[in-house]
Amino acid sequence: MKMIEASHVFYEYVQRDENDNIEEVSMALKDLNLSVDKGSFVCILGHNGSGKSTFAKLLNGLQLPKEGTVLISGMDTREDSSLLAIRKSCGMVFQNPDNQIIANVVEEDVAFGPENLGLQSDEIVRRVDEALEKVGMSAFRMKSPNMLSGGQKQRVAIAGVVAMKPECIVLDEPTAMLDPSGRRDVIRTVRELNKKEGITIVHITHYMEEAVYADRIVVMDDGKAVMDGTPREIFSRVEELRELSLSVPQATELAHELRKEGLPLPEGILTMEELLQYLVPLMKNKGTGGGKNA
Amino acid sequence: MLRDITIGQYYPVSSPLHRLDPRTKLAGTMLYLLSLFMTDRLTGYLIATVFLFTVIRLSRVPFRFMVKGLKAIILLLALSVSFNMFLTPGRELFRLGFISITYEGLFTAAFMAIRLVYLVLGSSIMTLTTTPNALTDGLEKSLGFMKRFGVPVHEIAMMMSIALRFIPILVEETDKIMKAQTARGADFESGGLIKKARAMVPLLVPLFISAFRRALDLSMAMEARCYHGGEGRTKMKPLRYGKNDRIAYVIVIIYFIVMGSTNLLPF
Repeated sequence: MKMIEASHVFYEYVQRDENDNIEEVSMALKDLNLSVDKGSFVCILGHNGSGKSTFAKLLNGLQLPKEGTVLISGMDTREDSSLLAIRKSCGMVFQNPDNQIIANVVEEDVAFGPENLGLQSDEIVRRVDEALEKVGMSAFRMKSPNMLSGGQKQRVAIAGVVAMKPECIVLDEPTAMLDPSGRRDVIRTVRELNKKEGITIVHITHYMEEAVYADRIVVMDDGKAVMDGTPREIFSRVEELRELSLSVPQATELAHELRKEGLPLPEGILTMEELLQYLVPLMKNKGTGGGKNA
Repeated sequence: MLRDITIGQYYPVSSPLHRLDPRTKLAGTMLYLLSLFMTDRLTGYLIATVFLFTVIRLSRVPFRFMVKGLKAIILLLALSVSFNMFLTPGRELFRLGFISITYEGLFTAAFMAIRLVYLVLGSSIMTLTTTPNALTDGLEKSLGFMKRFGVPVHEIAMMMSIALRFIPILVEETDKIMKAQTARGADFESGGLIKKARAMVPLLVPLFISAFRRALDLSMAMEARCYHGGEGRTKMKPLRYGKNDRIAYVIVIIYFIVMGSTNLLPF
């Protein structure tokens, strides 16, 4: 069974004026088909308004598709009776860390989900311990969230989801409001959860550097999935991405430009290290051959 | 200036009082406040004084923190003392022009002052030794019976704790908006009361908009984490009475009875 299976999904936002007349209807999702395997790490890219956040909210029944179906582990998000089970198995982390922390103490916030599930106190304590350990925030357990940095708050929010023992975590631009070091911490945490715990990750972002770590990238544009493949495949298509007003990771872009200038570099270089691996031998060859450009 | 506001006035030390169940402290404080109004004998006040200062010692909160709370009632204190002193009829002690001070007036004023001060001290002990969260929890649990009368106790407690969480965030935001507007020439400092109040309008509008946006975000985040009201919800740390709570209840009740019976004494 697939973790997520969205088929022929349509979603529209209706804007009404004061008299409840329809002013504007905008289609956020148009016939979207997308499925995600269990245990995979999928990155969804797209510029603002491409429908990626809307898609995220469909994944745990916060919003319901106008047409089509969204199945989470085979459960239909439209079934009221399975809504809690869906939200339990598919947790969600949002963009603004401040607006998703409910309690005044870190451990109480992490406990919020398990408390809603009606678990026994000792089981809740165990899960809070575990979850904080997994995101590396155990030392901050008794602190007030207001004392934490953005990255730390976001890891607390992740712990809050982890404590519900989900099969899948959907992260909706979790790093958009963070500084570079906070961003790194969050990404590392998410990757570890995927590798060690086998939790399926759906990461929505517009930082290309973050997408490099995914097993699979889905590019969304105008409410549809327009590109789908491994990071290497996707980032080899630099010109296509540019047309969708998306950039590529810095290393990929540099390699692409160098290739255009005639250097024999392969497409789809993702990181600086990789680029160096190809560039250093080239420079050495040049050095011994011509001697002029070394 | 806005950052100076502290919410709740919890004083984080470890003391037997801090460890009591919030319900015990709520009930104890209520009984203590009641007891102050039950007696009008000197003995009563003496007992109340001894009780109060023992509890203060037990709480390990420095005395000057307690006194801080008194600042807020100085005006009220001065007013009630002078009314009682000057307006109580009785045996005249001395006269200053048209003002006369009586023995009875002096006594009532003194007792009134003591009562007020003890009221404030007594309730600050509770807020100083109980985190706002524990307090909300305690209120939710002890007012739980009101659910039967259709009072949404859980929802109110949840709102209180969310409000506590968001006060510092909104304060920070107000500060930010204020600075942004000052940078563009807004003036919050000068002018009379009306002008100042008017200057607040462009501050409040963006603040409200952002508060609503946060509320929407937060409610979504709560739903995403399976929140579905108080039904079927458990607690990580459910309130449980311990041995100390039973002892505290016994002490407070004995104190209360003693205070009530002081009225039978001649003085």
